[in-house]
Amino acid sequence: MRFPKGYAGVNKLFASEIINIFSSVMFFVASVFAVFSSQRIVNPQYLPIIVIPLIAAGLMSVVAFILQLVGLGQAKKDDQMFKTAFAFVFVGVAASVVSFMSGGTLSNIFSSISEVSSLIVSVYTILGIYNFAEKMDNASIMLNAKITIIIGASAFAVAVILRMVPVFFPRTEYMLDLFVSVTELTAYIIFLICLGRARGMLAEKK
Amino acid sequence: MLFNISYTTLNFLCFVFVTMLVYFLFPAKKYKWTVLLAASMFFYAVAGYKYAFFILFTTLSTYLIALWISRVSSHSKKLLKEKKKEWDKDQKKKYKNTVKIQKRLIMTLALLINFGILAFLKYYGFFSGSINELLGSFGMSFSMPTLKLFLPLGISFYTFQSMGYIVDVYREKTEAQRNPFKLLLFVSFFPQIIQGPISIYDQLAHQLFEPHEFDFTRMKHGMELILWGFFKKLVIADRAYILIGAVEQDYTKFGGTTLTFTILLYALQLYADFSGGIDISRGVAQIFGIDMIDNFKRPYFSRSINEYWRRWHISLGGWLKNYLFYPVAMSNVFINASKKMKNTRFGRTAAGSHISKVLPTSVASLIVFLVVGIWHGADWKYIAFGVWNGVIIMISILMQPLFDGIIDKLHIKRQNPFFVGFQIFRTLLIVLVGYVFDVAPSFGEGMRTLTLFFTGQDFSAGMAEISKLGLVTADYIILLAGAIVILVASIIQERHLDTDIRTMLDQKPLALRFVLLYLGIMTVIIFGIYGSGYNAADFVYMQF
Amino acid sequence: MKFQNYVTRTVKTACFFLAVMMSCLLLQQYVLRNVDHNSLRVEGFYQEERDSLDAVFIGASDIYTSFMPGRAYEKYGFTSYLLASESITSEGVITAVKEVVRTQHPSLIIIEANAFLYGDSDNETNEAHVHKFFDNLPFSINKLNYINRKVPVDNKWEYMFPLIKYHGLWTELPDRVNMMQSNFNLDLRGYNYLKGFRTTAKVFKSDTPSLNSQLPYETGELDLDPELQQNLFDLLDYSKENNLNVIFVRAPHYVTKDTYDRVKRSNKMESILEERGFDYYAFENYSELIGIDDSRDFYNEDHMNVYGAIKFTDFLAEGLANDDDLKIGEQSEAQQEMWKEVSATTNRLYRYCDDLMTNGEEKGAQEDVITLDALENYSDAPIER
Repeated sequence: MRFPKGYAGVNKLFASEIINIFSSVMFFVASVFAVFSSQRIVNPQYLPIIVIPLIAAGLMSVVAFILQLVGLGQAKKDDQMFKTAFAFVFVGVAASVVSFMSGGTLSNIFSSISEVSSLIVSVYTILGIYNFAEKMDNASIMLNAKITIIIGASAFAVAVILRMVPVFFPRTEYMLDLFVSVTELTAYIIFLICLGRARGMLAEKK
Repeated sequence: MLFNISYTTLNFLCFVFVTMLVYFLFPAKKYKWTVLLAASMFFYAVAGYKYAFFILFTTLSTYLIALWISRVSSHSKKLLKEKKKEWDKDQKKKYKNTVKIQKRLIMTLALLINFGILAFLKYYGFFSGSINELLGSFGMSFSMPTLKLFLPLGISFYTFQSMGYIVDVYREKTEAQRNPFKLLLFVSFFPQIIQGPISIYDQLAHQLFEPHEFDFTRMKHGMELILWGFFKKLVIADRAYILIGAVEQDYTKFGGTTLTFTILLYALQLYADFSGGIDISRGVAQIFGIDMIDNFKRPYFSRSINEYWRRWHISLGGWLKNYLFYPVAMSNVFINASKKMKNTRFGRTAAGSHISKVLPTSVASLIVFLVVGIWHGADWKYIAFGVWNGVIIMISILMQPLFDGIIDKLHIKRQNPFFVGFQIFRTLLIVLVGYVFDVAPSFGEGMRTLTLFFTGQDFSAGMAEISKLGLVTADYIILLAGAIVILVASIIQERHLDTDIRTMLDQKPLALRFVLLYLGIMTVIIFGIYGSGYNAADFVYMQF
Repeated sequence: MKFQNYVTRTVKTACFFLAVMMSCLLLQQYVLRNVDHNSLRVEGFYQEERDSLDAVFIGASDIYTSFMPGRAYEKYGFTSYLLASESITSEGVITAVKEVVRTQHPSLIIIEANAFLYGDSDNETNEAHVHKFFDNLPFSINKLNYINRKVPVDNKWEYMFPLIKYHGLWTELPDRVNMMQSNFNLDLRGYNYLKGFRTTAKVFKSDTPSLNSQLPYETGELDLDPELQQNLFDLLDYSKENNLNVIFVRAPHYVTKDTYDRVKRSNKMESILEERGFDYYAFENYSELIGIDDSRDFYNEDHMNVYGAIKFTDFLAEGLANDDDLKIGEQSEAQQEMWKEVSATTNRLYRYCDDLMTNGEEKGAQEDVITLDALENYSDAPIER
């Protein structure tokens, strides 16, 4: 294996994303049950159905975050791009905390910083994979990585632009949010695919 | 103006941004220059559409006359080639002289027309006013009519630039431009139309017409230069002008200390304003891949007035040197006068020999600076400004051997820091005297100011006056800090003549670059003088 | 390495410009901003949960010094907000109505007539009055429309980015700490304690007699300024097109002969509105009926103090509560908690002002940190009249 640390890191990053997906599903389930039960008379027997998935989601999120950090920490030993991604994880976390604890415009600004940091983490992660692919002469993964970055950045740009549309067309936020969610989900899936393929490439024994 | 599109407005930045997008995305590379032309026309239309006729007339007359001169040249060359064997040496010489005179007449026609328009629009008021005053003093009733004239935007700059082109065509230094629209672009290129620099055709034209691809480093450097220009203009120059403008409004009521302080501040303001504007122009041009002449090279570091004028408004100095100084100094009149003087008794002495040798140069310098004075404005005070500089230069040329002798006798080392300091200080004083005539409303007031420098100092009264001129303590701190920043940057640049600060900055760590540029932008945003401002008096709610 | 360089360079450049932009936004929002009670009031409106207000009051200082939303909620259970600004222009009123439609669906919009009663249209171009309202509006199609139509071309940037106008305020920062802190606190808190109400603790004493007693009998009319009248027509047309329940009111004033012309213009406005099928309640003409005491209930000729405001609020709120058009919406628990706090703060404010006036002190009282701190010592029990 040419990049053992890189492989270990990317492997963990992939696992982190999968766990995140499960966490989101758990959270969604908990939310559905919460909405469902609030429409009926509040009954203690419904509480575990809401609380357990919620706790599971929380725990999985924490595990996923730790895996992401460890993964980036390992991968950065084989490529500098992961170092930048690693740094921006902390920037994003700090911004999220400030956004959560504050309100109004301050909260919005730091929320935006957090989102941008998240995008940068993804971009630099994929750039690291691109570097690995370039060194391993894997044109297919290189192309995949390029496309992932372009689509990811484009989805972000679309989201930013669409957020300005309600200024001109009031009460269109919900419809546009749906559209943005779809584009971001598409970009995320492409990101996952790239991550998965990178795992495979780095696992090769030559 | 349809709306304000001057260089330090958001409108201008948006305009540059849009032009940039269109230019770099324009598919037909060969015709990218048309984007610059369209942008220049748009800029001129917004900034002064009423004056469009004049710039178009200048361009058309320049274009036609350059082609005419070029045709005469090429026809004469063709004929000479045909008659090479037929004509003898004298015939060829005679023919060449005839062609030279013909070309000169055509060139003179262009110069007369265009400089005539400039002179009329810019100086008729001054001329007629002076004549009427003179006639009035003799008790004559006749007076020249007063005309309400306006100055087309950038007329001084584009007239000089296009006439330089005509002379270059005459001298066969450059080919006449066959495409009138390309010539129009050269004349009206928007980053330089308002305050220069005055470009030489050979230096600028090919850059304008060649397609340039997007280059990140060039764009970055261009934007850094624009930021530097904004800093000098908005933070320093416009802030200092608050005080200077207040003094200019009611000049005669201020005492010596206030006027001295104003002149010193004016030295900073004028440099920051002019060089800041040029930096913005150059930065914008650089974004498009065009390098324009740097008009200022740390002029206040000059050790002599000669050097000062080689570092200040370099393009004007260069133009005058090429198109006025050399023709005058090397004209037969002066060469013959110099020879005549050399053959006199005085001329055979050491001093006389030197003076007869440098007579053409020194008189030509005086003439050039007379023109510099007139260039600055239509008033006797500007002529005084020009004459002052011209006389100092003339004296320094004529007395050079004497000064050299004194320095040698006193065993002063020319590179001694104290001596260098003395020279810089002396030059600055000479320059400041010239500035007095810039700031004073008239020649008479200028002379009065010079007297007050020595006899009218009253520190406490001056401080009391200065405190009411619109600037607060924080403003002075900013001006001082800004001056220090400019000084440090100038020293660094002066010590690294083979490179520039932006290239040096590129070598520094990312964090440092980020912080410096961030601080630069935030300084301009917070401390810049722009916008309509906030007046607390407007915001007091009267009903409460 | 070309692609990587391209991406990293793009990221670095984007991060740099984002940092500059965020800094400018923070400066514009919290530091270099002309924050006053108008800012807190207008911003507070946009913090209200979407479609949570039953009524919105629009107008100038006449309305935000006369009506207490906290009191109205306490007594009659409907939620309201004062989307008002000092000497708001008639164009400002129209924009305010459009903003209300954009962000809320109140069953009633109450407009105080002041903006339409000036003798000329000079107020429409009064920079200070225009800025006080429009600077505090977020970016919206309505704000952009106003800027596009009414702002001179060289000033447009300042209206879109107030930092351009106010960047020079750094010289006054030490004096503005109170309002900066109030602004910041409001942002963090997420709601306005007084829902726009502001007052001055002072009892107006004047040698000039009030003419309020003869107003019920005044039938004279004076024409409205043509521009203001046209704006009124535009507003009425807009209201009809959008099926808005709009009522117009005129708050009580200490009317003297100097301000008598406004009364006649108010009468004219009443005729116009009646013709077009809109309700207009010129409470100014019936201040005695409301129980307003000219010798005690004003703090200057144009504005009532808390003594007058509470009477006017009770009177108007009761009238609105009995109006079939007013629909009281359901509120979440969090909303109810918030409104209880609003009512409590209003009660404290009343007692605070009462205390000041009893001791002969004159002071402005609004949603700022100094006033809110001072209220802590006062009881929040409902005010019994």
